[in-house]
Amino acid sequence: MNRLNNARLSTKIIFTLIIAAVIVFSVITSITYMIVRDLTINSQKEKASLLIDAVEPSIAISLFLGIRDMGEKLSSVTRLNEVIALEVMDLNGNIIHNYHQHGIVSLNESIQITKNLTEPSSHKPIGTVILTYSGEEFTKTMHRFYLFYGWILFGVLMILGLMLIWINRLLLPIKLIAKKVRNYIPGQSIVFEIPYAQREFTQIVHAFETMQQSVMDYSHQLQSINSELEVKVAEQTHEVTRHLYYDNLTTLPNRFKLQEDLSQRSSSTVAILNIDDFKEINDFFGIDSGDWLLRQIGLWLQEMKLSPYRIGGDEFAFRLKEGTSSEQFCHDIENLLSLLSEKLFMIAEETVHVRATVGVAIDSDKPLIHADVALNKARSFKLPFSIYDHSEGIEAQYQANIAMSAQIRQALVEHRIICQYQPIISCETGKIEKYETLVRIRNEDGTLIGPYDFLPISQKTKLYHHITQEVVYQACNLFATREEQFSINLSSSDILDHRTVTTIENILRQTGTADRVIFEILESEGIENFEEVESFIIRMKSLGAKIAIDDFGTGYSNYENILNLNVDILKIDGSLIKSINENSRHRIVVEAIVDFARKIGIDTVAEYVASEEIFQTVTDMGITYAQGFHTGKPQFLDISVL
Amino acid sequence: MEILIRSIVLILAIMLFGHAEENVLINAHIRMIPKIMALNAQVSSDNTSKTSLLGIVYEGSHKSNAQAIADKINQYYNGKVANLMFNAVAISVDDLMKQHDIAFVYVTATSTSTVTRIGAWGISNTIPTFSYDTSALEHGILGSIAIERTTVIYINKNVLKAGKFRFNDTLFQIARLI
Repeated sequence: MNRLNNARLSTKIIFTLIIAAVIVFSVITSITYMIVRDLTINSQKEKASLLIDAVEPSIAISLFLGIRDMGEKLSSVTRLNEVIALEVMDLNGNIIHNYHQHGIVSLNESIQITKNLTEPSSHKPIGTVILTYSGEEFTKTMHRFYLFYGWILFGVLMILGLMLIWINRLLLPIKLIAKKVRNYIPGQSIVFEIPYAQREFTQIVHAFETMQQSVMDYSHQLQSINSELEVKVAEQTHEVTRHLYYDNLTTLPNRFKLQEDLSQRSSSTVAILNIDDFKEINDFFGIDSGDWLLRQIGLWLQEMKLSPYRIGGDEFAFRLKEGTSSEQFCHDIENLLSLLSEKLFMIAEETVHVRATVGVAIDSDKPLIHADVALNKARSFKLPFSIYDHSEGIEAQYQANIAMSAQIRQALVEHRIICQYQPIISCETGKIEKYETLVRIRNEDGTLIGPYDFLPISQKTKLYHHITQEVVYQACNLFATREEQFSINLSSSDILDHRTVTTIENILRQTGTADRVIFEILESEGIENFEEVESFIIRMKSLGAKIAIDDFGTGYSNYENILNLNVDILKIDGSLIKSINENSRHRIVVEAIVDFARKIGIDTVAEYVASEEIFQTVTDMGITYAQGFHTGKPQFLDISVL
Repeated sequence: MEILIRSIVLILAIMLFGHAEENVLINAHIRMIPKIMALNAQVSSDNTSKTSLLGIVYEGSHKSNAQAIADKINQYYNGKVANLMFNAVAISVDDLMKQHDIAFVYVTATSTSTVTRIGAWGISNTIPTFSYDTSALEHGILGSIAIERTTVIYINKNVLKAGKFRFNDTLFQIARLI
């Protein structure tokens, strides 16, 4: 079907004409054939009927009279060549007379007429006569018919053939036009030459010429637009490149540009300069002034011929130029720092001194990372200048921190954060009255990791609160089935985290342990975030919990704060207790703390009670509780974690 | 002697052949005469309900011959041909002249004068007359049947016209009018 749809117009026209001709010819031929055939057959039948009618009376009277020899009487019929056979039969089917023409005559083409014979007087049936008449004339007529229509068919086919040629010739201009248009290239002009000017073809040619002119006009417009677009694209590309590689504020090349420059070498020497306390300048003078200062510093660094990059908010970087030694580069950097410290910048008519810290990586395969490590080291040690030293193992420390962070996260997921509990005994009775909850990580091999190894890292990786919530959950659920008091250490970040505090409250309510829990807070953290800590203490005490100040006596030891925070217990720092028998100053401090606590009516706990002598001393001094390896080591109380 | 014997054998053979031919002819007449009577339009229209008489006419002492023919006809047709009821009877010439209910006449061997008389009687009474002897047609008899190459029915067209005889038309398809 698709082939017919895609066929040429001339093919379709001829195909249609052929179908129409075939249909018309078939119909006419069929009808004519039937008419001729019926007429011929009827004519032959008529002739045969006439013949039989002519001899029927003679046959009937002969049969009636019993005259069997009818040959002479039928000779007028049987002598005709068209009569092939004539049979006369009586009522019983006995053949009375039988005539058959001699020679080869096809009965297939013959016509047979049968007539009943009756008695002449009574008209009773007496027999049958059968005349077989030759169909040769019918056959000849039909042959003439076939020949006639064969010639007509031949004529029709000849006419169709001539029409095919004529239609192809008529449509030739379309082919020529199509060929020209197919090879058309915008911008070129086509001249249509057709062999004869039929009106339809001239209209098509005119339409194509008009379209050609439109296409040419449009092409010129497109070329013009294209040129403008190319210019704009080039401008945009330049702008994008500038944004990609250059800092908008200082117009200096940025970190990306530095990385690309560095990537062209296997090892490089780079220095990163960080403006000290730039946040304070921003906070003091405002961000706009800070930006202005950064631009000024950028300009000054350019004046120093160091080809600076701006790689971060207050960070600039320099790359060792070719032909310069690393020693010279370091010397130049030191000189730069010296000059910068003497340079005065003016912000809002105020003179601003700018100091900076520099980290340098020399011939490093990771120059930016190593320079940053050196910068951090310089800032940590309050040095103006530091060079990365691979042997210091700082990178290994980073790797260990990352590994520990992953380990903490894995332990949280696999519920390997577990708690040990160290007894706190009453100095008066010697009985265990409280436990301090101490967190551990159980390794997959069963060994334990102490809190000093993972808590600092967890604080930096935002995992600390999850650990705190896990510890509170475990301790509260354990002591819900026991009678002792128990303490849990909280950091200031826990207290400041709203979600953690809410979780703690929920756990206390669910386990019913609020009246036996003691939250241990560092004195220093209470001072730094006084209002938040005070609010937390009020919320917890309203539930029935107690508050203890941990490691009291080594920091600020501000008694007024203790009074304001309304704490219940003071845990005296272990460094004072463990040498209390040898160091009279420590003893004096501890006596003062105990005296203060007694006067305001709160309990005291001596930590690091490592021997009987120390226990006796703290008991004699009137300290309420003792805690240490002498009175009880940390232990598992929950058998399910063993 | 031998010639004499041969002559006797020949004469006997001729006699036998003649007798056989005569039998064939008589038999043909016995089968056909009643049918030709049935083709008589006048007989078939007038006597549809009553029995027609077929007279077998004889002369002199030949009644037995005529009676034999009549018996054979009656035996052959059992009193009916086509729609016609008939009865064949042997009748002398004199009796024939007195009767008028005869429908059809078949004349056996008679003298010429008798034949002439019967022919005239038939014409005057419009009663078809057929004869055993074909030559009787020359003396006023209507028709006869001869066995030639085929069976031929002869009809005297002058008598046919004079006696105003009416037969079924088909009869004339095969009859030879003389």
